[in-house]
Amino acid sequence: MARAKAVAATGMIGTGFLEESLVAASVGADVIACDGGSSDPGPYYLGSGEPQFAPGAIRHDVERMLAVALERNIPLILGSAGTAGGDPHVAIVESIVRDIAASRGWHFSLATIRSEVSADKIVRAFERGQITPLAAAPAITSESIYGSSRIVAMMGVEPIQRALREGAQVVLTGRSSDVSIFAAVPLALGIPPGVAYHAGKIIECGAASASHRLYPDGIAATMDEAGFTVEPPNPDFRCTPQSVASHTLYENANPFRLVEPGGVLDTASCTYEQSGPRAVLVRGSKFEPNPDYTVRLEAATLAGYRAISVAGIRDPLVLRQLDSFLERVEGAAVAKVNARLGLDRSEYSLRWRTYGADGTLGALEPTPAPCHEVGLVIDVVAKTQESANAVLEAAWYTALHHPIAEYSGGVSHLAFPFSPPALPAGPVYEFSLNHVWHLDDPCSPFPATYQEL
Amino acid sequence: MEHSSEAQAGGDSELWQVASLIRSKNAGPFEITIDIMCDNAAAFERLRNSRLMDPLLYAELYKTDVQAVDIFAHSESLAIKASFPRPTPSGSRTDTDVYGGQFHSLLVRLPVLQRGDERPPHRDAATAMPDPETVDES
Repeated sequence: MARAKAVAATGMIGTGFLEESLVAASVGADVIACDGGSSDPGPYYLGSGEPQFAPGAIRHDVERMLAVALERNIPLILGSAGTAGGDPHVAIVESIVRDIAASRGWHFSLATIRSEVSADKIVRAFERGQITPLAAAPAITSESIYGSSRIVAMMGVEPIQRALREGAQVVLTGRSSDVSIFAAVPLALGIPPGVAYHAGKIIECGAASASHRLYPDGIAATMDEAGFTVEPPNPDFRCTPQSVASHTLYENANPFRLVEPGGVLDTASCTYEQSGPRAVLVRGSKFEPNPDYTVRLEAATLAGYRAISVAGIRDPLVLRQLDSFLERVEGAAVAKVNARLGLDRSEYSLRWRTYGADGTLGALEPTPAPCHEVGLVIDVVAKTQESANAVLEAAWYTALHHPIAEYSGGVSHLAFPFSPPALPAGPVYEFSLNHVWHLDDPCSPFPATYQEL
Repeated sequence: MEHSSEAQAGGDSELWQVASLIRSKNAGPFEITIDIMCDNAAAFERLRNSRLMDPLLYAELYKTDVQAVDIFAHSESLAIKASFPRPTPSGSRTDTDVYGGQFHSLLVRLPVLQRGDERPPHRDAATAMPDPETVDES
């Protein structure tokens, strides 16, 4: 009977974990894996090529994962390198891995699988009808695809399995699906896909599927042909049927059907039972294979450059007319920008985010009346950083001294906590694809390189 | 604020008094998903029979198309889950919540009627909740 054990070192590379937890969990393990990315922190990382976590935090976690995996000769899979899995992200994490190997004198074979895809390739697939939209996807054209700053495809298990067959001991991937890095080895060992994918989904956030995770740490899933047992190695943590079942819900739109590249994981008839003091046994996970193999695409497009200003407003006379005050200020600022900078209103966006009124929910806020003070964020996005800075300066200076009917004489309505009152915030990217790419070969967009370190 | 056993046993309450966790999160950059968890079966049954199962509730609160709202009752985790498109994609110029972590806030003080109770819920003037008349089928 097939058996496999997969270990998640922690929920995300860079968040940390207890080394003794990984040591304990890795006994008898067939794979150690950890995810390094997500679209959650927004489009900036994909667009800019920067990782969310500092290189030092990535190195700290990867070094300790490598130490355990190499000592026990267990394959280590590092997924979604550098937050977004584009070529620059993969290169940063690859150089960290190489640097660790060199400084520690460790030798192993490393596979690096890239996932960045050229706009040319996606446009050709789009024109052949091989790119189709997911829920709430933006409308796209060949031109909009060419406008993307960066596009990545999210690999399934196949490119990872190929790298392991080629003899890699450590696999570093570009953008990979959350579960593929955990499911690749168990599937190759004969675990049924329903079990392998569901186990991967439960452990992909590390100890987050325990009932009260006190801090980031790892978790393990032991699988056989009938189901899997999930158990945290940390004696302070405990899985319960509810904690494990509820992790099936996490971050998914539909808790019963989870779409993977090669089909759909169906958890509707799963049972969750306490099988040990801190362990839960899951049975009934099914997988419906889909011969139409699809990978998800992510893209970020440069929308402009941002500059912001933060200020407090406390005067009740201003607050009681806040909306109309800001409308008057905007009218005056827009006129100044047009006269002095020659910029039309359509060439930049100018937003007054009013925290303490409706800053958090925007147009969804049912009670937009300001409270006793408001935190104002003036938010400008323009085509260049210089024009964003210039528009913002006109906006904050106008707001600072704009008259209100109740007062005669000079006024200063904004309390700036900082000097200068304006901060350049750099490039702004927006997600521009929520589509899948229909592939004949699950490995074709994901080239691998191999090196002996 | 404390969870009251009276609220869990029945009578009118607010959602936070019945649920053990109310949270929202991105489900990818283009959708929001809200999880409402319970720590006991009675609370879950009560919520399963409430207007949390009505797509109109979310359509009105989140100004989205009712056809785009999906609601699930997940009995294994004692959870109600609702998913719908974001007003704007995560991190776009008009977004206010990159992680989607505060969308659930509009539900925290939602009045939860005892099942079969026809009385309108007590409404605190300081909290704006949707008019029950407009979203409650009863």
